[in-house]
Amino acid sequence: MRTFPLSADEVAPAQRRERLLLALAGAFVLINQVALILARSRPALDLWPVLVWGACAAAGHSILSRRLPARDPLLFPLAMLLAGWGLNLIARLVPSFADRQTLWLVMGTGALLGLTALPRDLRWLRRYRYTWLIGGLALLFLTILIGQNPADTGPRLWLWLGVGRIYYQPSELLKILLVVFLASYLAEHQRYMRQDTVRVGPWQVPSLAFLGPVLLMWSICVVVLIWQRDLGTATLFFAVFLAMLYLASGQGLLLAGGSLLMIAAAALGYHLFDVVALRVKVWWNPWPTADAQAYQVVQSLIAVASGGILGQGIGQGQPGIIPVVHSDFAFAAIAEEWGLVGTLSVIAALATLVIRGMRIAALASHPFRTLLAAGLSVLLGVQSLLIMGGVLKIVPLTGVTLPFVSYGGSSLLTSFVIVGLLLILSERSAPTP
Amino acid sequence: MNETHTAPRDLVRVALALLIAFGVIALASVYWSVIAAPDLLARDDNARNIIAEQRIRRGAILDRTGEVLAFSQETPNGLTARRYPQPVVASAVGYYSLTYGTAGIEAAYDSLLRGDEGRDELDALLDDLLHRAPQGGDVRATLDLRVQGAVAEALTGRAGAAIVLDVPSGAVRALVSQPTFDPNTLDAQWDALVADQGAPLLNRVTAGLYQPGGVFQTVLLGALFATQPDLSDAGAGLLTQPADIFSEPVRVDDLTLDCLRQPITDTPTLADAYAFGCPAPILALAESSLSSEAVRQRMEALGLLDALALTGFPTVTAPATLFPAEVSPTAHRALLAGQGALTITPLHLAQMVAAIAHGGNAVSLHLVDAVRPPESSQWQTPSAPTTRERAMLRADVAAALESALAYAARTSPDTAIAAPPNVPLFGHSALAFAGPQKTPYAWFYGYVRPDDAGEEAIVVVVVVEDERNPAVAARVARAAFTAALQNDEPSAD
Repeated sequence: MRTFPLSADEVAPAQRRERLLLALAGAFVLINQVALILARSRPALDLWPVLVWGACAAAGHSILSRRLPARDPLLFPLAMLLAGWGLNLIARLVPSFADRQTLWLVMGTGALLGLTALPRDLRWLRRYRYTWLIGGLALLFLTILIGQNPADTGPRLWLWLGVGRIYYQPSELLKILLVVFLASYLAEHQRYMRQDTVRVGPWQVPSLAFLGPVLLMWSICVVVLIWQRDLGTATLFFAVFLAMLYLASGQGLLLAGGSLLMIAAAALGYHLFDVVALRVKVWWNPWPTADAQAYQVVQSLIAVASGGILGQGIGQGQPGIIPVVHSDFAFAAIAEEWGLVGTLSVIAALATLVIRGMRIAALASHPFRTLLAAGLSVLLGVQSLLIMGGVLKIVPLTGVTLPFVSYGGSSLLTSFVIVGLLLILSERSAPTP
Repeated sequence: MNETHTAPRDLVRVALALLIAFGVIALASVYWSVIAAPDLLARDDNARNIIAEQRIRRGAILDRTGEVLAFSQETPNGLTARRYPQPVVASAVGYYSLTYGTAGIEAAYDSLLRGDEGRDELDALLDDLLHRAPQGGDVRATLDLRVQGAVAEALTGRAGAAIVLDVPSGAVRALVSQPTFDPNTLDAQWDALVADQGAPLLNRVTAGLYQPGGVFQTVLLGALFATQPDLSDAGAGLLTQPADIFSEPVRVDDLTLDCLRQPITDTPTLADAYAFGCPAPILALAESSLSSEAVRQRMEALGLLDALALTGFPTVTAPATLFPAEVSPTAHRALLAGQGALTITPLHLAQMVAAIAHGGNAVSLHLVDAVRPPESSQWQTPSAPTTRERAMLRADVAAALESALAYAARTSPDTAIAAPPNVPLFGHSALAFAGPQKTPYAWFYGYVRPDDAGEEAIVVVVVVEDERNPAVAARVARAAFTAALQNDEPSAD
């Protein structure tokens, strides 16, 4: 692959396009917030998250234009559209959390822009992969020991690391670090993985020597996550791992074998953990327990149904009927108030983000950059698919968040970091010294 | 392409797989939002239906003077709560409950009160689109809060029923059933109300099945007047006939029926027997000249065998009695005595008395006389089927019965109690015995004529349960007459 250094003349239309898209996204977020204020008779002061959003968008656009003039023009507007939509949604569902979510948006944008200040070749990521991964795992173990839950109840007691009133979920950071590690490791061993293969029956598979460390790291992650009963994140990790392994090795057999392994793990989880068994049963047939275990799922489906094609309008539906709608069921709330038009827009926005990410992977100049872009895209895609599929009863419901949209600072920050990395990977101008 | 590098083909495959998955999500979105939506939304556990119901600005129910009997109050969260400032009208107005449904006027005019009917199509569509709370229409009842209150007070502590209505309009001025309930606390008390032996949720006026007992004497008299060929002077001749057997007790099954009170006259007539509720003479006359079939035809003509329509009230008024296909001699006797299997509702009796006061013609009973559609200031006549005034009695029979009632009201001290000051009363008292315990019920039914022309009348029917003294029912009736006549004066035009 070769790079495509673009001249300033070629870059200008893309900048204009990004500005236009951001303006459109801003109009959408502003109109929603105004409609919410009117519909719910809220004070005009409730507009401030949109103002902050506008400041983030303007600052982001101008700084990105300076540091990454030839970046992908769709990524940042799409991320900002979804994050702004999420702000509208949080302001509508849990107004008391709107301030904190706005603060996290500032931090997310800051993290994204901060990443672009670092060397664009990302050697700092690639070279110290073990440091990053071990650091992430250490953080995770630390939360197991001293973590807490901001709600003081619930099974996720150890997932939160309290620093003042801000809580962070280290498993969110671990997602990115794992992709970085895998991209770096696989890129380094790609040549040998593809050449030094062993014959298993009619298939050529990479020798176990290359897979060993990967599988080991992988098992640590999975053990930790199963210990935390966070099956959603475990599934997500495994899917990302399989996709990256396939992309690195080109072996479809690994994909098939890995999928079988995933199903076996799921079956094991079903028998070992009541939580998993319950989730699967509720998914398979929620109707008999609609007033008990399946209450959330059934109510969420009813919310989707009540949205119809055009939705009830922001502030006009009753998504509050679904317990903890703002985190796990943000998608159902969008379905109720923005209708099918809204959900298809969210699906299209996320799908576009993922496809742009895969395009960045295809255009990347280095195996590490290819695998990193692809891994991050798959991470974003699979996470979105898991939660949307869970809400729509295609797969069992898992507790992962809808990227950018769901309430939760850790998730928002992580999503912005992913987009930041993708933006860096998409930069096609000649590196500035 | 380098063998050692990620193949673009593989990247495309992964991207394609993700795209297909997003497509599946999109299809599932279409499925739940559009295809499966009707079934899901109709589910009982869809709280949106309840919330939508609670958002409705249900219309008000007013009495004839504009007094508010029921209205919906907005709560701070944009929902509404139904309030009943005058629980005393509960028997007529009924209740509106999310959990337990509707009753009374609330049930009969539900769709108007909710705003489902009487609304402009475009307005309704706009309301729906803009999520404006639907506004319902108002209903004006014929009830008179003062009369209702007076009757309820007179019946305090007693189980029973009373109805006051105007002739010839058929407007119900008071409808009291006791024990009753407070619709404001219905949801909280429902279980207790249902379990209560006194059946507070039963509307005794429209659905209470009572033995007519001595009330049946009026039916028999009407039948005798109609069938006696020698009624030369409007039936009155029959009344002046001396009664040979007078105060003898009458045995019906294991029941001994007697006069309500011994008459103070040496030459008792049939009119005396009727006034004092002596069963023997009328029974003897009826047994000798009326077949069961003739009785059945009389009852049918008087509407006692059909369900009654009361406009403004759900049409659940019970049919009085299923007339037995074959009547044995003992059953025949019990029937004539108003005992045995025979039951009627106070509403049926009120219709019959109204017909007597209305020259033999039925009146159209109604509890509501005007409705006001949402966002309108004009009261309109409700679109109810106007029943033609059916003839229940021949005019001469009605006149003869009126004479008998007038005589009874003058002669019987028990009945005379009901008379309001300075207004002539037409009335009759009776006792009935119900069930194996022979629980006595005291009846009063009759009317006064507020005008001299003899066109209008105020009809009152009272039944008091577990009461052997007919004067108790008459006292309730006097309270009703007095209140109704007082109210008539200022509003007379």
